[in-house]
Amino acid sequence: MRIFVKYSKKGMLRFLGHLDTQRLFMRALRRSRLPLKYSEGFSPKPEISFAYPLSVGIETEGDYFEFSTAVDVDTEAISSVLHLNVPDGIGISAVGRVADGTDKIMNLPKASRYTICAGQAFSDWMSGRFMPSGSYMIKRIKKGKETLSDIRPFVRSVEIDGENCTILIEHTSGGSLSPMVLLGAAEEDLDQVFPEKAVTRTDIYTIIDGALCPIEDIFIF
Amino acid sequence: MIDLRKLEKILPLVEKPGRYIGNELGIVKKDTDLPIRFLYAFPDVYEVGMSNLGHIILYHLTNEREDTYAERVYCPFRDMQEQMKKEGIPLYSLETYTEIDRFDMIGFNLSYEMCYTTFLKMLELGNIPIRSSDRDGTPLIVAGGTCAFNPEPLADFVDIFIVGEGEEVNDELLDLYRIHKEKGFSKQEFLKEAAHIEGIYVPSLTEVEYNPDGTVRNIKGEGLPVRKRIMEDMDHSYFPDTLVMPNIEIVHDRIVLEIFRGCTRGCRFCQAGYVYRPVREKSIDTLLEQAHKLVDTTGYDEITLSSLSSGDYSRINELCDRFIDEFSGTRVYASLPSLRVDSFKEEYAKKMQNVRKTGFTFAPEAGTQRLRNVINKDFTEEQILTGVRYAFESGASTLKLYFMIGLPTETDEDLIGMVELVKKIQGIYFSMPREERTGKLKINVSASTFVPKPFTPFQWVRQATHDEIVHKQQVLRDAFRGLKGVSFAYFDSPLSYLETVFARGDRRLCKVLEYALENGAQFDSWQEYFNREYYDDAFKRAGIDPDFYVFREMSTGEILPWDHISCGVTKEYMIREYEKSLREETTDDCRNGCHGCGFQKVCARL
Repeated sequence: MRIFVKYSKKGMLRFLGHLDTQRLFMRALRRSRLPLKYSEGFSPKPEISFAYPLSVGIETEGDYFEFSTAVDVDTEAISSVLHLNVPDGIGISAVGRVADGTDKIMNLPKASRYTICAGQAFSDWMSGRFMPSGSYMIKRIKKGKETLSDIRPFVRSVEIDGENCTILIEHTSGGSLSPMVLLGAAEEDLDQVFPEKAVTRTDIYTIIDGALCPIEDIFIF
Repeated sequence: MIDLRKLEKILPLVEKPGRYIGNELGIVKKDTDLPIRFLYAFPDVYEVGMSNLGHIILYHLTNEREDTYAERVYCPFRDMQEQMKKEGIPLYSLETYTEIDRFDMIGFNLSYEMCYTTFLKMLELGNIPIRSSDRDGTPLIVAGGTCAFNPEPLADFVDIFIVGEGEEVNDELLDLYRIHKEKGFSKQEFLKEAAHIEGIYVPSLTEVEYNPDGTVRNIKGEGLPVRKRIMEDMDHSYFPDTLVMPNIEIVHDRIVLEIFRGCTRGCRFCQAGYVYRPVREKSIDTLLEQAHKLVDTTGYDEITLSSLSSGDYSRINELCDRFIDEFSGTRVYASLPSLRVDSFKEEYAKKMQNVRKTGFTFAPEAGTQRLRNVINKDFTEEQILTGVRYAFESGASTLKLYFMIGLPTETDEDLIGMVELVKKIQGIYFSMPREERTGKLKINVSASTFVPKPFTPFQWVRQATHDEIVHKQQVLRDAFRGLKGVSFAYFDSPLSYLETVFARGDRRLCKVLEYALENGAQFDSWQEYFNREYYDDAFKRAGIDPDFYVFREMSTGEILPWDHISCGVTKEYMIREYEKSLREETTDDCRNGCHGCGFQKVCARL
């Protein structure tokens, strides 16, 4: 049975990298003593994969991973046992099955929504400078080479509420954009360092019937 | 509590921020206004420290006390130290982000001489004066671990040493502290009373006098001699229900379960083999119960059954069988390292293969029978070759072989003997039918430099000089050249040299450590940070010739700087063993007959 889990990671644990986060959930699953399905091969491991990596330092309220059990298990039972086996700072928001034939979880993400709180200057820059421009070129280092790339197309929409900036960033076959890079671009353009910046991923989106919606919407409870 | 906003600002700027955030599963949460706040400190980075199960067990044990909250701290790496300095963040505990100078006691685990400057660095990072005499009240600086057997090089820094196993002493010390704290704490009065608890050494209450030739004339003071503490019943000693689970990958990222303490073999270079006597086993039932508990609560899928010489566990076959039975089908793997080559029987080889295929490591230590007799590593070449054959037949093609160079009485002949032995091992592999060989032969030979350690029969012996070591390495390099499938690794000797200085040193070296710290020394066991010059300058400034501690054959008649500490094995026994080594005589495993090392009464009880 394929199980999808939606989780949050907040506070100090936001400084845990993607690999460490994966290992943390792998161990939590083992501790939970669920009837996990293992990979074939010489050293079998539980089959667990994650929707989309998150940069170190960003909190999340809506990240996802999937794993499989060898037999059917009640999803509510999974939720409560997982909850006991993760450290403070990790929350299990939802556990659900998915329909047969659902694509692998890493192929689902099409966009992520982030809340960035970096002060009025950043909000003003987003609405006044970044969004109105047709393209926004920055220098990025890819495979050790410095290239110019346009980051504007990744940002699909912005909502501004005072100092809170909610943005929707697309994940395309050509890559994606970390909100940290966007913040860096603003800092460079404005020639100032935002002293306080809090970034939270609020959800990861996929496309169902042509419409963007949180991955959670495909869960079957 | 430190300013968390400042911490959050610097964490994105450092490598592996997961080291510094705490919040692991399994940490103990308590009120911070309990009567006693204790801090377990490990003078290395998080990944190394968290791999040491000993302090985690003690952490949980101390937290069983209702009046005490025990927390943990490790040494931040240099990049983090720089950022902390820039932001004015002092060293803090991982549980509650409390500045370390706010604790009542800090207990350091010292297991290796080359962590001494890191220990001092941690005090400095916590704004705690490094010298005991510059600290009036709390925190009290406590230290335990293998290095407490010769505590003298740290005598000016540490308030209280705990010699031996800490489970009971820690409690007694905290009980006493509680009484003193309630009646109004005076450090002097507290230390005077503490010095009379068995296993506790308070260096500030002792005095050392020296002879004109630099040797020790006299050691006297409160609470001497200090006798090490041991737990006699391993089945009833404390074991926690769960462990703190690291959030990042650590060095030994698995369950390490100690199957017995001590060793009956008596290899004459091995400090652990003497200071952890007598042998005390955990029963198979206890081990299985602890293993199940830890597998359930940690989620680890690998258990290492650890000891100084696992094949010497009295019911090793039954232990292997029962572990394999209990965990078959659960995807939990058990491994059994530290097998002596002569205890490496076909059965284990086969069983290990069932469990998980790994490379094998053997430690012949010396290349000829003569030299193995000197060091009392008394297995024969035939036993080594038989063990190796089993390993190859069980499907291994990678072998690690550990040797030492610079051993007492060693000649070039012994070195060539090492190469001959490796050739014979290679021959065994190639004599096997091609279809039975798996993979490609890889023999990794490593030769470390012998370090004479206190509380061994070789404590009086000098270390080989730099020139001698370079010559020995050259001989071996030449002789190993062109051997198919064999790689030879050897190590630079400055670290072994300093290890000997501080292993055999006295309290005059405190100044050296202080100067070395000032010069920038820390993380000395990390090759990329070790700088010989920090120490060269420190010795010069302190007016101390380090060769005195390293290249001098000590006399069995002189007072050794650690003679006021007792590990339970008598000095007479050590002298006897030393003299036997010079006659190339071996001492049999003491399970085959007692040799009277000093533990007769305890062993009779066990």
